[in-house]
Amino acid sequence: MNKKLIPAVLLLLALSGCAGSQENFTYTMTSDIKAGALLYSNDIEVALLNGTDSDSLMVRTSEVSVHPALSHQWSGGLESQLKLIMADEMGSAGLPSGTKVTVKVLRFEGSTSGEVAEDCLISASRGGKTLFEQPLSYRGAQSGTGYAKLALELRRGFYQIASEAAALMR
Amino acid sequence: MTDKNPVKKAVLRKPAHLSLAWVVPLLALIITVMLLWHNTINKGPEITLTASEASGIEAGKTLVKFRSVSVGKVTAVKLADNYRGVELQVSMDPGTEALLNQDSVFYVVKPRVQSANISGLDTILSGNYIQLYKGNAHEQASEFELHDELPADFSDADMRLITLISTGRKKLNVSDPVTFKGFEVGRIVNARLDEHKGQVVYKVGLDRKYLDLFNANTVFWVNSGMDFSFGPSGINFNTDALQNLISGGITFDDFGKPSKAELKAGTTLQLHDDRTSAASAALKRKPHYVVMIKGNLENLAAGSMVKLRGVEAGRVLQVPWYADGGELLGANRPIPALIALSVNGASDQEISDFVDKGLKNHTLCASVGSSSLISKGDLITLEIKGAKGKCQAPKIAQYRGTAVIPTAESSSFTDQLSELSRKLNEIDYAGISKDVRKTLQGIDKLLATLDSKSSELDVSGLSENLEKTLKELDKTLSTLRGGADGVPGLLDTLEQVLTELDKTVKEVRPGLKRTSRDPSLVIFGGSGADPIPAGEQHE
Repeated sequence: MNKKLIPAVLLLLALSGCAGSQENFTYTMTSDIKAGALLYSNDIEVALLNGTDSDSLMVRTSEVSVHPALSHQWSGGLESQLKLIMADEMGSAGLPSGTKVTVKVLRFEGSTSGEVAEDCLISASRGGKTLFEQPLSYRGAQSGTGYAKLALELRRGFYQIASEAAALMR
Repeated sequence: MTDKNPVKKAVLRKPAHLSLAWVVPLLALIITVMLLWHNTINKGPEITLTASEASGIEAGKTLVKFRSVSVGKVTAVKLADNYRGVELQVSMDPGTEALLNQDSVFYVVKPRVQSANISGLDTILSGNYIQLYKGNAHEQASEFELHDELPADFSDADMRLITLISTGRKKLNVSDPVTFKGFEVGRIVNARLDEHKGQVVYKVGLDRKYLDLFNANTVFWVNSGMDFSFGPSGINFNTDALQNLISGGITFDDFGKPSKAELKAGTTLQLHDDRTSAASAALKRKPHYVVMIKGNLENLAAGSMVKLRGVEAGRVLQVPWYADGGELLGANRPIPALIALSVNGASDQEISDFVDKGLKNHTLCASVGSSSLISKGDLITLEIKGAKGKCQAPKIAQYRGTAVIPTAESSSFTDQLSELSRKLNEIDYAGISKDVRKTLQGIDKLLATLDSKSSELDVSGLSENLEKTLKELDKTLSTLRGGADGVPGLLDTLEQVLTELDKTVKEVRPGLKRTSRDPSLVIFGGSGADPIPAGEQHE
């Protein structure tokens, strides 16, 4: 067995060896989330559409290309983080129980020129009936160079979108 | 009776025209005056040129030119008295005395096909001519040497001459270019072999138009025209301009450390063999430190990178840097590596202060790292420890008068991998009970059944095998939990190993993602850093 196990493990690790000398950074958007948000999170569904369904921070490098950062990633997954932020805001909106909120994220990225863009389609339904559907966007510019500033601006943008959605649903 | 109208006597007058006989003497006089004017009064200086041979030079035809203007003509070609050369009599045009300074240079321009260029094509139709370069000496001369090519001590108003000394094996030729980003900004005007010192001395003329590109920190190296390297960062293959690809040449850089002092005429510099050695040489004036390498040297060599927080911060200048070669034979003696630190935008003083502070507070350590799996131990990483982890003070604060940066245990991925491999090897696999083997055999049998009967699956046989396997697995698990004939502590050991494996896998997950996106990373290394999202510029 050991003859098979050792080469397999070494090969697995060797394949990842290229990252050995690279420093990796992870970012979180949910540091201020209240624990109560978890109560609402089951009623919220977040769908990351193509181009945003990566755990990497996305940087637009041209009109048609986005680059998933190799060394800068979302800790714990972007989807769950967005879900928690939305749940946090929805909790304060006082929605009737049984309301299902769906967030479709179409764009969630920075760019090499510093612009930050977020586009979401947010809908709420109850009992199979759509109560609310609204596209919401955020455009901003990161306040400094680097991925940390980009993560900060993306966080600010999504909080704004979530807050706006909660206000519209009240 | 008187005659009132006496008849006047006719007076005979001779016609006033000149005899035709005078035409010939007059013409002779005019020609004589012209000849006198041409050969004495309007005659320029006569000079003598000596050469080893007079190939392509004809009396009465070969011209002497200065800035493409004819200023004289060869009037006679004759052998020297000792038959060891030829003497050319040149009649210079009037008013050219000022060109004949003692250090003026004459050389033959003829068609030349060289590796670097083809020159003198105009002489194919017009014939060879003699090019005159005016000297600066106050004294005048009438005898000069006719050179076949520009002499080593030649100086021209359009060029600034410097000397480059090469001890390498790459030979360059006269007229080979000095290039900057592919543009020719100078050329080699003379090359000679110094057989006593075993080096080649190149006299290089730098075009005065481009003197701003050079400064006192400029370093020169041989540009082979083609650069191929296979290293930790993958395969690099670069070619230069076609001219350089054919012939090579010289190129230069100050590696981001320009000096305000200009590169003076007559300066003698080293001509490096390649860019790496030139880059290391450029750092020789930067702050130096010593890192003591424990164990084997691996792939560390002169020119290897020194990184600080992942950013290039210097180069290894020399390794091993022994004061005494016998140190290598000493047991467990570390190998000293001399490094130079240089950070873009930081002054030498800032770098020295940073290192001094780190050494004083024991927060700066060095370790040998790897840029990829295929190249172990090929760079030095400087680490800044936080409040939790201090660096151990080095056993010696200075080595050969240079401050020593303490060495920390390497935390590179490859070393972690080696450690994990060692731990895996230490596991007592032999102690795993026979039941584990039997279970695996059962799984093997099951897989064989599935494989052989994939088209017509024998459900009954599969069910039987599966049931048997599950029973054996259950038995194995009970054994692992410490049953009657189980191996005591085996489950704990396995749990420990699995926890460690899980931890390592989490650490390498980003690497796995990178590899899945770009499998060529395994062989060719990283293709580059992430693009940096810019921010607003705050003044």
